[in-house]
Amino acid sequence: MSLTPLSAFEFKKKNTIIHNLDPRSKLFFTVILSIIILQYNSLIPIMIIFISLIPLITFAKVVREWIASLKGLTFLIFFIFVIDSLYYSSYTPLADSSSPTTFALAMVIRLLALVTAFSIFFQTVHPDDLGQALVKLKVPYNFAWALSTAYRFVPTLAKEAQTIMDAQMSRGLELQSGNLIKRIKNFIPIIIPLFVSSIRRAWQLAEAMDSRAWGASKKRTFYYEITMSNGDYVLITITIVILLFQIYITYYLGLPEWVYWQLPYWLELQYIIEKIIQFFKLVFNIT
Amino acid sequence: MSISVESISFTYPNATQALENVSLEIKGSELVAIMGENGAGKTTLVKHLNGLLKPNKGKVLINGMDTKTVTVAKLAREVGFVFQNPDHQLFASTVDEEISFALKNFGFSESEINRRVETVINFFELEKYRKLSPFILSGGERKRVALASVLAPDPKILIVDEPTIGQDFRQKEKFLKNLLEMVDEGKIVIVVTHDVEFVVPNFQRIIVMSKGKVIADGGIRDVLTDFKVLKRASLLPPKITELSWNISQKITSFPKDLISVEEARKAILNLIKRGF
Ligand SMILES: Nc1ncnc2c1ncn2[C@@H]1O[C@H](COP(=O)(O)OP(=O)(O)OP(=O)(O)O)[C@@H](O)[C@H]1O
Ligand SMILES: [Mg+2]
Repeated sequence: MSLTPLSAFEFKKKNTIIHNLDPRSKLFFTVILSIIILQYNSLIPIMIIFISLIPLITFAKVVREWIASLKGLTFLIFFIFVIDSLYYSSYTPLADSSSPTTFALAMVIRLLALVTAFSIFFQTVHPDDLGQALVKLKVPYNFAWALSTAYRFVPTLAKEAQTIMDAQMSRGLELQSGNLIKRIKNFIPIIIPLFVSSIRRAWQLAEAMDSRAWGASKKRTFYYEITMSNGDYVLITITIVILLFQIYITYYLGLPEWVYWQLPYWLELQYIIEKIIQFFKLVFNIT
Repeated sequence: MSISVESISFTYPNATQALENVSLEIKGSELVAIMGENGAGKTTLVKHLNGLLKPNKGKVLINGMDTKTVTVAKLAREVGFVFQNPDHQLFASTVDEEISFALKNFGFSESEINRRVETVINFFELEKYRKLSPFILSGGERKRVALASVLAPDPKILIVDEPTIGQDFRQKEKFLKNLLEMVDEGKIVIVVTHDVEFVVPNFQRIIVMSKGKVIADGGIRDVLTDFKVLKRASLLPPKITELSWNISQKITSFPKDLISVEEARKAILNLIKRGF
């Protein structure tokens, strides 16, 4: 068991165009992008959005972390894919396709696209800058502080969870094998220390902050001020243009037919499983 | 009992090289100290001895078993490991349950579990706390519960990372006595520590690490009086050694490599009798 997927949401200092942008413009981009993605249920548009995110990953130099996070999602991807393609019916919310497997694939890629967008955001925004950006967007300071602190503790928490797993395995807790029920039960000795030490840390942090007069002055200033540069205005403009363009194409012009392309029937998961069952029945002569 | 580390190297996923071509051999029963500056790779090294980390190069054999071929939980029966921070392992609702956790994992019988819990509880003077939650105990007491829970299954090899932090003198002495008893029973005990005075009178062997390498491995006296090694590993010599070295600068007949109070007492009395 490993916690590498969490590293896809952990800030790492690098010097790239994307890292140097202001958190506000990146936040705007990420939110608008999510809104766009969530409007589609068919495979082709989601695919297009997903593929167009890949250059951003390479610009931000986070390819390795990105691949690790996708690997960490394997189980979830598999789960969504199987459930959606086997239990799909006209009652499925959002369903607008007559091909379950195409729909399932679209949902999987939609998840990947969202994860990718947010992982680029979180990997390229320093926790302090995120807090400051929220304050500048008129979020109350207490709230902004809590949010950026929670985010700052993601790597600490991941490291701590790893240490706890190590400590319990050293006391004979079997984490590397066993059935599903046993594995779930085995989580108790991991979750409780993680919880307790997080609470302990929260108290310590609160006491340390109180003893340094946190909240004594109402008006806060920042040592480093984040500033919008030309690049940020370019990004915001591009984002708005993309949004308008997307709305125009989708709701005024109407999407062309090929956008609703579906997998051929012989690639349907249900069909493949049926064929396999038929094959075995034939081989073992069951009627 | 044997531990054999054959020229291992280890690099963390973030590309920090923490161990570089480290070899050591520990056989029979021995009390070994591992010392070295912060970040020297001590914790990384001992994590290889119970399979938590597997070397990128070279191999680690515990009683002839390659750590790459068994799970940590399996190795745990042979190798007990006490972590630096007790909060990383305490989880049960009472101290009693906490101590029986490893025993249950290893499949001891109910009566054997009770017997062993009883023994370590008495040894570590935890009777008052048996039915209390480990989380409400003080830092030093939590550390003792963690120690007790690892010692209860009576591992043949014991590794302890920084055991003396936050312990008062009395607990340190007791703990040391326990370690010495284990060695007498034929076990290997490895202690990672920065506490030179804890090591001096009782340990037989000391391994000094610096920047991912073993820079000295030998008897206490040879290593702790080698100022070059100590300096490289940011270690202070024992106070007695410093004193004897200081005196020997003035009075050349005075031995400069004393490590224990007893030795120093003899040398000083000698000096007084002889006159200087
Ligand atoms: N999980 C980890 N991921 C990446 N690097 C690590 C990790 N753990 C330790 N390191 C690095 O490996 C090196 C050795 O660390 P290690 O914890 O073994 O040192 P140590 O000798 O135990 O130090 P200390 O006396 O402070 O406990 C250090 O440079 C440290 O930063
Ligand atoms: Mg350490």
